[in-house]
Amino acid sequence: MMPMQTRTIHAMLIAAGKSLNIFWILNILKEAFPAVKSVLNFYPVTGPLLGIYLTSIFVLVLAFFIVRSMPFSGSRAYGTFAGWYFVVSVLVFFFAIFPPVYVPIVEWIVSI
Amino acid sequence: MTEFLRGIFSLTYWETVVDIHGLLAMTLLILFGAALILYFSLDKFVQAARWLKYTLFALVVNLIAVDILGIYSYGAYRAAEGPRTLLKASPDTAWLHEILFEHKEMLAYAPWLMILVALVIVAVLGDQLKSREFRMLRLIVLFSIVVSLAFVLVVAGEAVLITKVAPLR
Repeated sequence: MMPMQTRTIHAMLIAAGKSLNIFWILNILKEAFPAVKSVLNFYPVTGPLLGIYLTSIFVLVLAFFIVRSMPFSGSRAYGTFAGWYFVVSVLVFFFAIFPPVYVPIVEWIVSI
Repeated sequence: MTEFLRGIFSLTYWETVVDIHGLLAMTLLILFGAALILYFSLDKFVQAARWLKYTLFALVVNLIAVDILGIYSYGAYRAAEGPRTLLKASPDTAWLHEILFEHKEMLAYAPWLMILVALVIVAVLGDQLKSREFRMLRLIVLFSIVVSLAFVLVVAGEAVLITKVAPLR
């Protein structure tokens, strides 16, 4: 396989993981900090949800091109890391956006 | 037949939107089934990788369409007199919004992204996907399809529970 092809796949795995992670992190931040919620709520009809979606998509695109441009991203070791990073991010995402999981985290942040 | 047509044409705008949203979500099940069959047929016939690529592309497009319609109808759900207000008005139904809907609206972000990852892997590797060298990437394709399907089923299940109590009209 050509190095650029390898880098494309590895970049996609890392970018998808980063996008999912930024999604749940932004959700917690918007619940904990009204200023973050206000920025994400640029279109009040749909509320901050649209802001989280668009920011996460932006992170996806940005991370993809950054990682793809890095020469080390084509290595086999990086590929293994990228694969696991993606899988773990998906599993963390499922629970991190579940209210009984993230609401106590928000309450803890607010109480600090 | 007249009664049927009268019924169909008396549907409100939002009922039509959410019906199309649901119809597209049902189509996903067929595409997920096709993707899984093609995945397990990669070693069975020559064109399997190519057809898997086309199916994953259709899945990504379908998932994005479902998400766009979902976000569009979410505005009506959040409206002052909308289903969200109805659900939050009673302690017995508030959890349907505060837990289930909150989870559903966010979980819907993952499936299209996971299938996009699978599509990129299949599109880049093509027939090389059968090679033992790319076993891990092949497993990631399977993981993406199966977990994405599971997420779609969870979202659909949550949607049924919510719309049974407070449908969008």
